[in-house]
Amino acid sequence: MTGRALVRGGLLLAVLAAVVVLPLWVNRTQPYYLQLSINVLIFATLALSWDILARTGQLSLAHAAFYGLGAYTSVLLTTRAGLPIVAGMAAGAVVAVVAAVLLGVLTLRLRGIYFAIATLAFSETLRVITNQVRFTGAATGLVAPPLLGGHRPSQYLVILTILLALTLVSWWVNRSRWHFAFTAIRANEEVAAVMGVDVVRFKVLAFAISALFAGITGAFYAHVFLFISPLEAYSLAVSVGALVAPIFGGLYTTAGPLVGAVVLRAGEEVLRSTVQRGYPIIYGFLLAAVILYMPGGLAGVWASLAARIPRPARRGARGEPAGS
Amino acid sequence: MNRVLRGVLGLLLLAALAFAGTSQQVLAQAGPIKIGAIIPLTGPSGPSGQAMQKGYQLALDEINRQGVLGRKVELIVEDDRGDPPTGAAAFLKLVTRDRIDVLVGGLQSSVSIAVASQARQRPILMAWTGAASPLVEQLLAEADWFFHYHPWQYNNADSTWSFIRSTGAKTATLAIEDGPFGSSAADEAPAFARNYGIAIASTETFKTGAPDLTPMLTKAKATNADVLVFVGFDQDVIPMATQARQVGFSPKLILAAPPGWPVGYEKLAAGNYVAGMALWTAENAAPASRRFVQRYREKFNEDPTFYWAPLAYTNLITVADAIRRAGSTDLNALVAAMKATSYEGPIGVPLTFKRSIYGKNQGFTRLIAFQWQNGKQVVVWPSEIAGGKLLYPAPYGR
Repeated sequence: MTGRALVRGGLLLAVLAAVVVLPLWVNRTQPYYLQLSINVLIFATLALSWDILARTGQLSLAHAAFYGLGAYTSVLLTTRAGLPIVAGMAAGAVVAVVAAVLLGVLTLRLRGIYFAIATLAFSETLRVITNQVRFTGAATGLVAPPLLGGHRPSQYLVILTILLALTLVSWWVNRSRWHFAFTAIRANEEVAAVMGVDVVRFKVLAFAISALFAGITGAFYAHVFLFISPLEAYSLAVSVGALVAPIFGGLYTTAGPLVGAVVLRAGEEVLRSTVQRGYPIIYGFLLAAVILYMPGGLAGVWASLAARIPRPARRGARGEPAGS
Repeated sequence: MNRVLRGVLGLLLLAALAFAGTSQQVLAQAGPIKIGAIIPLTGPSGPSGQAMQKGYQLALDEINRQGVLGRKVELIVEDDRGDPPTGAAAFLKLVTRDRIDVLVGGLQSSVSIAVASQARQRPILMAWTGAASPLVEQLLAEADWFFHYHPWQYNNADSTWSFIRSTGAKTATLAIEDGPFGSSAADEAPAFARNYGIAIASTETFKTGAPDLTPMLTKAKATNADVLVFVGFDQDVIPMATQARQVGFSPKLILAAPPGWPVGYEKLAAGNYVAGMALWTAENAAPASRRFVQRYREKFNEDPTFYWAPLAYTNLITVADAIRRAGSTDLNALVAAMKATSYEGPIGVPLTFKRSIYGKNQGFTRLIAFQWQNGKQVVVWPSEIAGGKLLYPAPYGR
């Protein structure tokens, strides 16, 4: 192992230790920051899971559907069937995956705006159905039992574990042959197929991974904030929020959506508590500026800065593409 | 001698420590009483939350003219954006960082549940204005420290159908927007209508914000019902009123219940004689209401259009009064003082807290009905606070 790799490994461990220990330590005197950390991690999980699907060139607006399915499945199974919450959350993730595979197969031929509209329609249909069915609490919604007795530090560790698992999956995807398959599909499906890439398989797999984490995050949300309604669980704001953070942070990377989610959610909180009424304007301007002038997002800026720093020639190093 | 000297020194030291403690207490007492408010200033419910903020400002001016227990009252407002995670974070910030003594505010049920789940772990006096969902009531059934001002959803439905019964109507058609707002009204309607002897002729749905409501209105017209109960949002009432005239739909009464009425509705000729349900209107004849409207106009140079402003005003005034009567901000003393609240304010109905179906401390339980008459919201029901007579059947042709 080279010295450089050792430094990187050490840094990674330090960051990991900080995200595990710091919020729990701060919680002793300032539980507000632990709550903020949970909110940020939920957002980051949604953003990174959305990005995995986007790597195949599919702009999905169905993230709210998987999130809502995960939430409703878990709450219904725990309240109506008496299942333990952990089992309910797992079932929520499974139902989201099944729905994603079905939707993926149905929308295989669609691309671009047509795919986006089809996924939006799927999400809206689920919202309208849930809104009408008495079993799901209809418009009134459902009250959910608390995860781990409502103990916030433990809940933080749960969402952190989910995000770490997703980060590992994302990192592996970008280091494996999947990355080349995803990139080829994104660039041109026909050419990718000619090159021997199983387009259907990879697109459906991306959909399934994306939905798995959206579903379990939806279930987690329900058991932390204890209430779900069709309007909120299947809200378009969930899908839009999930795509804004990767665009802001840097698409098709692992770090981009994570950094984007942290900066956006933490920045929004700072603005909310300091500027109050006018803050959405500032927030909007910042977002527009990044999208207009930093098309690669924060990861793109980082990559261009890093490129300017002279460094010794690397042997066979393969980093993650930034904003590719 | 040495022992005596040590004893004296020890006593002096104890006295000094006691004095230091007392003076610190005095200093702490001299600080403001902190009240936190969680309301939506942005997002879809932003206009209602902004109206609440104005109500709080009026109340705060009044409270701080004399102070409470010799101290100023400081109001720390947090914008929940109508988002439960933001509401939960705002609660923790107010309680653990700002160290508030009382929590007020509240509008949406989902945010209220997220806040309440935190409050159950850190009990604080929660004087809550909004959240009409009975789920909130059930969740906080055992919370002695939770005081709820706004009527519950079933109170709203009961008021609406009780008013329709008072008109002498026998049949009604429901026109509901297809979202949660309309769906929950449609769910409750059959039971309440049956209870008051009203037959529901049909239930028609529409999409909120849709520019063309004529297909829905034409179907509603065909039912020949006495009353059209229109459950939609602010932006839907003007198309509904104008297009009802266009299709020649003139039931004996159109009753609409949007969360707020759009600016300029009062000038709409086709909107005349439409009735509405609300907790309060600016035409409320109660002396306290008139005073409130006058002060609101003086301070903000506009008329209050949402009942959330007088409700928020009532909220803060009654909390300050409870602190005065309790003589401290101790939770148990405050709860006892709040339970003894009896206040006749701008809402026009005396406020006391009583048990509801599940909850321990429920404030208002009834809405009022008004009718647009020549640009004014004339209160027509209940009779004890009515400022005018309901024109029924509505004299559209005249």
